[in-house]
Amino acid sequence: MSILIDQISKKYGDHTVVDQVSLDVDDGELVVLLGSSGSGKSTILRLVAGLILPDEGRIMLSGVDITHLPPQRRGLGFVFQNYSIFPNMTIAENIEFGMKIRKVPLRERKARSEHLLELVGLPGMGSRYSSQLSGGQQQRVALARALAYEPPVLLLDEPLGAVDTKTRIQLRQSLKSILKDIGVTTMMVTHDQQEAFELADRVAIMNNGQIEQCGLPGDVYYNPATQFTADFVGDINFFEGRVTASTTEECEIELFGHWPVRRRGSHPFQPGRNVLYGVRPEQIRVSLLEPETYENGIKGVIEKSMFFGDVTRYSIRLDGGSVLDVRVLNYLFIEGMVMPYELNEEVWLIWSQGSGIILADETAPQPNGLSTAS
Amino acid sequence: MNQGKAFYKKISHMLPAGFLVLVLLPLLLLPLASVFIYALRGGLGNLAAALTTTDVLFALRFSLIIAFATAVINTVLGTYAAWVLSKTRFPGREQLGIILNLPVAIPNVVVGTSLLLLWGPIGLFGQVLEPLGIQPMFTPVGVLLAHVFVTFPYMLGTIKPVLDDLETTYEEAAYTMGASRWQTFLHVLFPALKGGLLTGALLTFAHSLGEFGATVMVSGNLRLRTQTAPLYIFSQFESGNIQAANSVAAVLAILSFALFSLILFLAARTGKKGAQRGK
Repeated sequence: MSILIDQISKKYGDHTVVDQVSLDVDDGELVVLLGSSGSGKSTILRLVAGLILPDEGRIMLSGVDITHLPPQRRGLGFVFQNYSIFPNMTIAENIEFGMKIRKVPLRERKARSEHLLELVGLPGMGSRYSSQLSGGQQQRVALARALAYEPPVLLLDEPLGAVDTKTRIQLRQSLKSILKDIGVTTMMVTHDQQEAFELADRVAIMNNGQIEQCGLPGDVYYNPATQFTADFVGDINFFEGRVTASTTEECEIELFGHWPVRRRGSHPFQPGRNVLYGVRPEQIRVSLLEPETYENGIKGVIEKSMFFGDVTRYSIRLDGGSVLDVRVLNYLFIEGMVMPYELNEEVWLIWSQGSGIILADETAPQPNGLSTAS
Repeated sequence: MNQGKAFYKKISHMLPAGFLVLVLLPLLLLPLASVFIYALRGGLGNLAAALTTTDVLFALRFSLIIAFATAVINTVLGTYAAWVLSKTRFPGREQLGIILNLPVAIPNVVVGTSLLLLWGPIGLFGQVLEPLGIQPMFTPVGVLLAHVFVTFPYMLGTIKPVLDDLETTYEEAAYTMGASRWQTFLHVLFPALKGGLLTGALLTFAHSLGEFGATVMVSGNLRLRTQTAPLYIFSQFESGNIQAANSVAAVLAILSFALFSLILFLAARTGKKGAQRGK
């Protein structure tokens, strides 16, 4: 079943939590709402579930308007962040609850609950209580319970938010395979970017009650539409620059007034336009040698290095005065492919002219007559 | 020198507990003990005779019936009030919570007086009701009304914290799974409240059993009609019949002791059950 969220808004007092949000989720698709706490993502999920009602807009389920239906009549599956497994019921009774309400015969309920426990990797645990299970096991029970009555849509509110990092990674994989097997239309909320990218068919980035960008994980990461999105998904170094030349094939930008960098592809910025130029740390390599003509390069001095296990992060002060972060895979040092860099050593930072993000710098004054469109 | 220090340390450690056992405990237990001593002074035969008079049997039965009815009524009213205060949002909710707890702060005699002023023959409602032949004061209904009023906060105070602690997402989870409000209450909220309901009901029952201040005002202390056990004790003391007063006092003390033991036992069992489930 598909979901259509059309211009919904929700206010608490004077505070707008969800601001004219529109989003569509196709049948069988998994869309993840990714945002920091307070961005309004959980409120959207609760609006879809019917736990709260919108002030404006409408919500459609396969073309049927469900905006004002109570949650009981929507029949959707909901997994809460704290799981909310009923403590007075056994795990099996919890899973069977939705079916019991729907008057499914006892034998059928039992069979389905056993099947679901097997599906989520908890066979034979039906007679236990929630307090006897770990956080990860409770999460699986919550999922099984939400799937028990075969809802047309599954809503997951930070489903892996309350478990430790290792369990989270394991659960992420099993969640993905279960959801893929079932093929249920799913909306999930998380603040964890890795989780979103791993599970989502599409990611919607939320900020201040609005969707900043919605697209495939790769698109959102490599072609962010706003500085917020670029910043929110992964690390990025941003510099103020000015477009010096722009053709259908490439765009030349001057950083710090004297460092030219190029970006392949067509861009809508005219020469003279102030822009933000961003490059992700993993796209940059550190070298003692000058860049090739088909590469971008800036000179800098190693100011700080930090060991992170798999990578070393170097903070490099550039000629223009800014500091840029670069990550170097540590195995390159171990294999002798790259010599470790010393503090205060002068190096080149080099990256491909095919990478780099150009965004309109809305804060910078623009020369007269130039387009402000990005 | 070291031995002296150790002895001093031991004594100073035992001092707080010693004060409790030697000074405070007798202060609490001696009056209670004296009730039993006086009740048994004339022997078991006299005690039995004192307890089987028509007046005593009526007073004890009347007290138990009123306490039971009060507990039942306040279980419903208190749970409803606790649910409204805990699970719904409206302006003035906190102020309403304070007002509903007022009967605990107001002296029971004042409660009795105010009920008389409202429902009595010259009271606001009483004046209207009397021509219709309805007069709740000085009848069992008046006694029940007073007991419901003064013991109301006990059930509310027991249930509301349990509901406050019960996360809203339990209810929401039930709603999303298709359960109606009533089904959610029955299957999700009520099981979580069971222990609290029993404790609150017993607490209400025990307080009603011993209620005096409001009862004496609204009942008229009419023997074989509205005289509760505490009123009987008071009347017998006033007329110098110490043996009869103490006999009923002893029965009330034993009943109250049994009730509070049961409350403590239930509370301990609920805790143990929770701990076992947690293993």
